[in-house]
Amino acid sequence: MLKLDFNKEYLNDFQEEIKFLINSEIRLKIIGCLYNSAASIKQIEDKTSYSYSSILDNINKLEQRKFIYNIDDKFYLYNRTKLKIIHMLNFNKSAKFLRENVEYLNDSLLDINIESTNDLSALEDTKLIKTNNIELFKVIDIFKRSLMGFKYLKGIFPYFHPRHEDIISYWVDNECSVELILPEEVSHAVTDFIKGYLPKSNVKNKDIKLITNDINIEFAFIVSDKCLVLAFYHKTGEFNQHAVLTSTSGEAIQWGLKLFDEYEKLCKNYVYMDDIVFSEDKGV
Amino acid sequence: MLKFLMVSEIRLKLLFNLYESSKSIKELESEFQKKSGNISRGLNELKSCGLITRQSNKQYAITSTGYLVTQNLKDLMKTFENIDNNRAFWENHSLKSIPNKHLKELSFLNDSSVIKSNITEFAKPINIYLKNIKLSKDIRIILPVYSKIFMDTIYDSIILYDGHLDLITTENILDLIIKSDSDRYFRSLVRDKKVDYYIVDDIANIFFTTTNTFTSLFLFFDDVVFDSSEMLFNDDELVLKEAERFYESYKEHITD
Repeated sequence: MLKLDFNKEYLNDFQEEIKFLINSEIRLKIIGCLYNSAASIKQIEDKTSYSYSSILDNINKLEQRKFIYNIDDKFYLYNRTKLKIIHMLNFNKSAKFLRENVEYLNDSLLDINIESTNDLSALEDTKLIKTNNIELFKVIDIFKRSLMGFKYLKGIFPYFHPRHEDIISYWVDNECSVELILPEEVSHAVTDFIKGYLPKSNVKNKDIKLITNDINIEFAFIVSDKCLVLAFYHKTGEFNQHAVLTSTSGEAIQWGLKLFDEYEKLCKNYVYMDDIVFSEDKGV
Repeated sequence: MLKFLMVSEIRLKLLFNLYESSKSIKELESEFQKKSGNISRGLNELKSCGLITRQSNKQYAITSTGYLVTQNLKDLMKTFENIDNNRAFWENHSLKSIPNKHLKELSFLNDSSVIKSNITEFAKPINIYLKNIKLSKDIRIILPVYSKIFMDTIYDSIILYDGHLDLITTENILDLIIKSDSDRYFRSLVRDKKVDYYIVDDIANIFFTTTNTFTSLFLFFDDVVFDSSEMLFNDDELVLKEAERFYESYKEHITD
């Protein structure tokens, strides 16, 4: 059973506070006017289409509820109002992402113990990409592109990519950093491929770290300096090879890095490139 | 969605209730002590938004989207509560010079302790700050103020632990660092690549520090007066990661 770990006594205050603000367009407009600088009622009237009396009425209500204060007939937002508005707008970004992807997400398994899912606002501009009848391998191609051409790459990947020759040789032959959490079998397959490929390569890169997915993470993502790609398992437990969420925004990439940090902490066994190059015995 | 959930007395409570466990309509009726019509209407509205589902055993359960909405809402509520708990700290200081993007990012500090001066420990925040700097190896600072005692303590730590300082400051502050009588430490640490610094014209009025052991924030009363009597302080490992990301994001923003 999940537990909603929060202060239940605060719930009513929280709901009332937000309801009071978002139930009135004029109050939101007034707060918008005061967001960057103080203003008098006359200045608010000039900036909005509302009458002086409606503005005055709502200014009084906002003042009574301590969202704003008044010095010499100019009205100011309390700092805490400003902070709360920033976070409400942030929640709206998360909500936009969730609303736009509701069907895909409802068909997907979720990992419920990950802190990063508490704020999804960075995913606001994420695009859902699906395979279709003329682009059967669209998702596989997206993964291939995201697994190459980067400076750094981190993530959790669930299978040995069909184009692994191109991908892994890119990792070995280029100065880039790779940190991937892989199922044990895939990790072995990648290690074996690298061992076989080394004699053909002028190895430039020692910065490869393969981590074993020893906690059965049923979720996949790739984050690099270029993009974030998220993929889910179906509720049936099968990996969904036909759809991914992608974003190239800096915020989404930062979110992906935070997500990786959380998962990396949970995993124990890993193998470095040096282990692969110099020793048969070390590693996973 | 915020409006959809918040303006209804029942929708938010139903969502939170089903987050904890799946329930039948009868169970919900008895818990809420409301007429079945109200409960059914609330459930249907949540279901039509994809936040809950009706299972084959006639129980209502939260969907993946409903779960994520609840998590995000719970996080918003926790943030509001933390802002209220540290109300005095936020209201006593000026946030004007901090861009909105960075104000939002600073939310990782919402759950931090406020350390204040008191009549018996007048310099308590500064003392705690210096005590923690002395334990730090990798130090990142946004520095809109100058204090010789801060800088000397930082140099000592870097030398002692073979550490590193990443510093964002202004030309004026850098001048004061260089003109101080411990400038030789600064110069030699820069030469040994133990100090990297970035000069900006327009720095936010935040004295922000993050190290491998703690993170802290001092603010200004207004555009010019620094407040050394109150500090937000946190040493939680996850918060330190966030603090490092905040510093890097700020650096990227100002050096773009």
